[in-house]
Formats: sequence, C-alpha cells, structure tokens
Amino acid sequence: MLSKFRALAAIFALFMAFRAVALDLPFESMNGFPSNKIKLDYSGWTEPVLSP
Amino acid sequence: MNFNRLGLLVPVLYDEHGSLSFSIRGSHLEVPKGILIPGSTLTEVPESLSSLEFGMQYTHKLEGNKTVGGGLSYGSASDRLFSNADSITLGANLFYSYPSENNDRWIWALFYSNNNPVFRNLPIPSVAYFFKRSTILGAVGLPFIYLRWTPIKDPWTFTLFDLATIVKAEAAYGPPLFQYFAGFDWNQQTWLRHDVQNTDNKLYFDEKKIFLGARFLVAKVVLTEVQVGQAFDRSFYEGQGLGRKETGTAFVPASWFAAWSAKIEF
Repeated sequence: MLSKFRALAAIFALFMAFRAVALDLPFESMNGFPSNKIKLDYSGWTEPVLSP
Repeated sequence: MNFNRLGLLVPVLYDEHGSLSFSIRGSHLEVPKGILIPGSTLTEVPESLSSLEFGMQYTHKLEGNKTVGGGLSYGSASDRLFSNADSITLGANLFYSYPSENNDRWIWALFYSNNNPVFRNLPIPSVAYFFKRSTILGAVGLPFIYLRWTPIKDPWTFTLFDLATIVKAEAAYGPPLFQYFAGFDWNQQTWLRHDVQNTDNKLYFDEKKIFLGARFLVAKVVLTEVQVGQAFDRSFYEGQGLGRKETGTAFVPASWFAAWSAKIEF
C-alpha cells in the first residue's frame, strides 16, 4: 500500500515539476522550426484601489 | 495589486541548418502592504516581487525534417533581484523532435529549472505528441495537454491547456485576429526570497480568474488583447510545491481586474 502511495506521489511530483517550465516548452520546434522574426510581447493587469 | 510582464526574443542566426535566438523576460508584481503569512519568517509579503531572465535557444535542423536543440537561461526571481546566490534562477532544456504520420510530430525533451515547485536540482524528462487535424490542433504529452478545437460551421475556437495546477480554458468567437472571448485561468508564480532560511522554499502566489475580453489587430502588426474579470481564490504561501506547504496561507481578497497585452512580430 505504501509503495503504491509513493508511486502515485512520484507521478504527482513529476506532474508538478512541469508546472514551472510549462511556458518554456519549445512549442515552435514541436511544429517544425522556429521563425526568424523578432518577437516583443507585453502583458499586464491591474485592479481598482478601494478605499478602506 | 498590479502586474506587468515584458518579453523580447531576437533571432541572431537563422539559416537552413539552424537557428539561434536570445531572449530577455522580466516581470513585476506590486503587492499591497500588510499581507502576513502565518508560520513564515517573513514579517510580511514584500511589496515588490520581480523577475528578470536572460536566455538563449539553439535549434539544429537534421535530415528528414528532424530537429534537435537546447537552451539555457540565467536570471533572478525575487524580492531583491540578483542580491545573492539564493535569488538566482537557472534553467536548461534539451529536445529532439521528429515527424510522424499525417505531419504529426514527436518531441522528447529534458528540462531543468531551480525555480520549480518540486525538484531543485533534477532534470525532468518529457515526451509529447503534436498533431493537427482539420478542426483540432493539439499537443498531448507527459504531463500536459493542449487542445484547440475550431468547428467548421461557426467561427468558434475552444482552447484548453492543463498542466497540473496551471489551467487555461477559453471560448472565443470570431476570426483568429478579431475575437471576443470568455475564459477561466488558474495560475501560480514563484519567487526565491533573498533572505529565505530554507532555500528549498519558494514564495508562491496562487490565483484563479474568470474573464471576458476581445483581441484584435492594431496597425496590422500588433495583436492586442483587453479583458476584464474577477480574480478570486488568491493566496500567498511558502512551500516546496503544491501540497508541500511549509507555512500557513495568507489569503488575498477577490477583486475585479482589467488586463491588456500586445504582441508584435517583425
């Protein structure tokens, strides 16, 4: 029972490790070859400041 | 709270044999004063949390439409960038990709990052299958899934991305460069505190969002996006991974938000 739990924990740990590198996956290369374009991207969010 | 992120990718070499590109990415999260994490050595969550990362990625084309490559990154993600060794982030990847039937592709990869929630100094293997059909495009692998479904009759696009506790789901209406959309997003960010006592611990910000928005082209080269929504179930804590919290949790009240983004390629 304990070994099954550890196996599940190991699988879950592997799952979690990928979380941090998800956005670094070379998706372009998965589809063949990267483009030769310069890419610039910006994103942001804000929320209203509420008076106490 | 406010958040800003900027990224730049510059190819410096591109020919029939390979490509080499350099990148810079940075982000900044502004945190309200007085957020206390129970059980943490922090007096309060820092009001400024940033990241800055320099990277390079090389891809080499082989015979038979196969590709092989790798990348390195160096940076810092912390309350005080590059202040000491504990605030430094390092990343690396190696991959090998080859075509399959129907122009599908397999990719085998190895990833390393010291700013991930579970392993601190261990490369992580990955395998994924990338496919494209008339109405469905996807990448299914260990341990993530990305699917995009575009029905033929109506201009709808349904997108789903899931990697453990990173979830992005969206329904969009309209042609690709002018869409209205609604979605759900669950995401986490991590930082390495400059004064942390247990260096395996990361500072986490976990939040969920529901939103409505629109994306459209500006001046034919800038794809921009605006959205409004509600951010909820938000919290700060310290730990070595989700489910491996080392402290209590500081909850941040739900709030309405407005977001915008712009992407340029030239």
